[in-house]
Amino acid sequence: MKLRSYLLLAAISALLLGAGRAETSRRPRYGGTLRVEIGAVIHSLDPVESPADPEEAAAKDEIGALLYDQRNPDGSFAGVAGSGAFHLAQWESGKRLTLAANESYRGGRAFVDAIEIEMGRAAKDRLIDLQLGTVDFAEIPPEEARRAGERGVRVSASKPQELVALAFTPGRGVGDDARAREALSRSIDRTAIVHFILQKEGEPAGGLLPQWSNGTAFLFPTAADTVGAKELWSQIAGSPRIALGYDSGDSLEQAIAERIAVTVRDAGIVLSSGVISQAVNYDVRLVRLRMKSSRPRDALAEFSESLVPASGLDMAPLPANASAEQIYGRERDIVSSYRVVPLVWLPRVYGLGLRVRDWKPPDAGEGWPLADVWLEQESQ
Amino acid sequence: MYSLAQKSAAADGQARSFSLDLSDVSQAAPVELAQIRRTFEDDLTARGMKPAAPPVDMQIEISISRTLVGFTLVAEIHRGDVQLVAIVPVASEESAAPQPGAQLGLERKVLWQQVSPLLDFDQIAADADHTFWYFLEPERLIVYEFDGGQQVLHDAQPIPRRYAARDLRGWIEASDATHVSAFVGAGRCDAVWNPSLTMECRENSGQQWPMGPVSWTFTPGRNYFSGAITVSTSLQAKFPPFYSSASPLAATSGQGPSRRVIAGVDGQAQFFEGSAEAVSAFDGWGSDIASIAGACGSGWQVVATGSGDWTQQDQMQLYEIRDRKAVAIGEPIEFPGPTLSVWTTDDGKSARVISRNLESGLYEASIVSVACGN
Repeated sequence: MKLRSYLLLAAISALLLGAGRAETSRRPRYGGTLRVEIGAVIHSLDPVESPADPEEAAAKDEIGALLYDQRNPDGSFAGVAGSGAFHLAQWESGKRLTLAANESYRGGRAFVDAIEIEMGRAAKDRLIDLQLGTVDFAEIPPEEARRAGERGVRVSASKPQELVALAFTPGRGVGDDARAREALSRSIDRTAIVHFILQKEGEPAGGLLPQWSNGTAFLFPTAADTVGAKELWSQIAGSPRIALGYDSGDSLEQAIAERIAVTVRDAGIVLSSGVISQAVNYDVRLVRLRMKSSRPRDALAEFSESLVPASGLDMAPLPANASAEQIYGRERDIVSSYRVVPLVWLPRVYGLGLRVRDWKPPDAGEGWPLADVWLEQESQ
Repeated sequence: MYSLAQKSAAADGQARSFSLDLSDVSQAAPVELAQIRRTFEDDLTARGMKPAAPPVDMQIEISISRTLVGFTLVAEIHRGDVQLVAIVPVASEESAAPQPGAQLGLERKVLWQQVSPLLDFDQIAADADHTFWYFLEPERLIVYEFDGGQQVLHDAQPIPRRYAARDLRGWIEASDATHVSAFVGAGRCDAVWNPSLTMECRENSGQQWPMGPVSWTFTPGRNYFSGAITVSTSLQAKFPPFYSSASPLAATSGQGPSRRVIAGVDGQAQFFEGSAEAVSAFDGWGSDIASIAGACGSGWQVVATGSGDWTQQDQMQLYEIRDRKAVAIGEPIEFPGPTLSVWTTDDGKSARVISRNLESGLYEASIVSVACGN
């Protein structure tokens, strides 16, 4: 009953918005307040404080990119808050904030007058608010994108830029056997994960860079090879089991882990999945890595930096001017070790209100381009 | 292609025969697969190798792939147990061909493409041999002098940014081939070519942009005009704020500026006739319009961009304004991206258009004129 009333409200709202739309103008219009909802709860905008929660850290970085004009080489923000396209107008820690356009921003004043950001909105609430037209911009989990589109939400997806992978823990029994790692990698049906868990909003990943970046992803196979996996697994003595860990608060990781546990059985692999905690040991864990740069060399270097030490691989840094072949070679070295097993690529998915114009999904490493969007005026 | 063959040949060892498989994983290859095959086989044959059916000494699989910066050729070379991968970029030979218009309507000719943003351009003939091309970028004015089609001189001068706007507007007004004024946002620069470019920039007092017999009042820090149109020192007409406006070209139509269409900031295109009250509105017009006096047609003709935003392709439609109505003439012409500025040319016969090609990312300067058909 509750859902029905939401849908009815959404339908009425869409009708009203449709009827009220003005003749469109192509040139950007100044004015209006952009209403944004985020899932994260941000406790401080002080750039010195680093939140432990990755969702809070990511949201804080997005807002920082609107407040600051420049970054230091290490990625931290340079200069003073308010030197960017917006300055902070109102702040209620953990609840909401308002940004106002910086009239003297050197990149040109943003088109909207202000951005109101409400924090701590769950994904399902963000979707409902998008349907009702009470919010202009919100991130949507990739696995919810298709459903959102079917409900009439205007959906925009970036190129794939977040890698979901398995990372083995060195020194943990079965994970130290290369045959076991390769068997697990071969046994995983990545296409099924994309189809059934991500609802086709993603791509199977065989390498560490997406096809659009270095153009070599097609050289890494992604199809499941159950026969090969079975053969490799049968060579391992004893009755090994693999423990797969995932983050407690990540429902997507949980769904992927559970799917893997089921599909690898066809290859005879025994795998149990569970939430990562200090008390529980795991042989391999799910990781989500967001590309911080569109450039293949930089993206791979960033991934290597976070994955390679934990996986026990010993690799020299790639040179700054690494060629496409060198980048491919490094990627091949890491993937061939099977200490890191790429699974799927995810895009970043956004829900947009009907009045939002000139929106382009950001490339890897770019923040929300909210200074460039403008709001269509509704007729009186 | 040469360097890929070179890399393949370097991997051959004592190989004397090879097989070649080609595929297009980009699904948008800018070159014919057959052409790549021919070139590659010719190159390896010249290095003493022969194409053959398997079994062969060396199997080569070439894929055309797409990256962030363009296309690449990826060669997987299998020789016994050894597998090598060679990657080389593909040089693109894309060029923008002029786009012919429909028989009756508009035609577009692309004159210039560049990576940097463009605000406006002008092409002025000094005499039968010499032509000057001016290009207005957000932070500089550039001039090229051409003698019989050959570029002979080139210079540029910087423009200070005043009241920077995110959608910066710019316009070039030419007094003659060597004297131009550039209006950029709240600033005005007067330039002289003699034969190097000297330029003086200042705040545009009164924010007046001279447009033929009238001038429009620009709103500093924004991308629109306030709506005040100065007809003479003692007469100013007030319209709603607008992005662009068009009135009949007096020199060609004999009609004065009392009739006017404005593309308003509110997204409405409205028609005014001698008063501050709109007498009609036109649907589906975008924010940039300009009058043109084509060689055919009898009335007041206006080109208008389409609706949509800058993430989409655009189109331009020719209209004739008759009896307070806008009548579409012919089919619209398509642009491979948004049109960013549209101004009537100095002779009034066409429109100069800056647009952005979303496929290539390049800014394009083009002339749009009326095609009279048969």
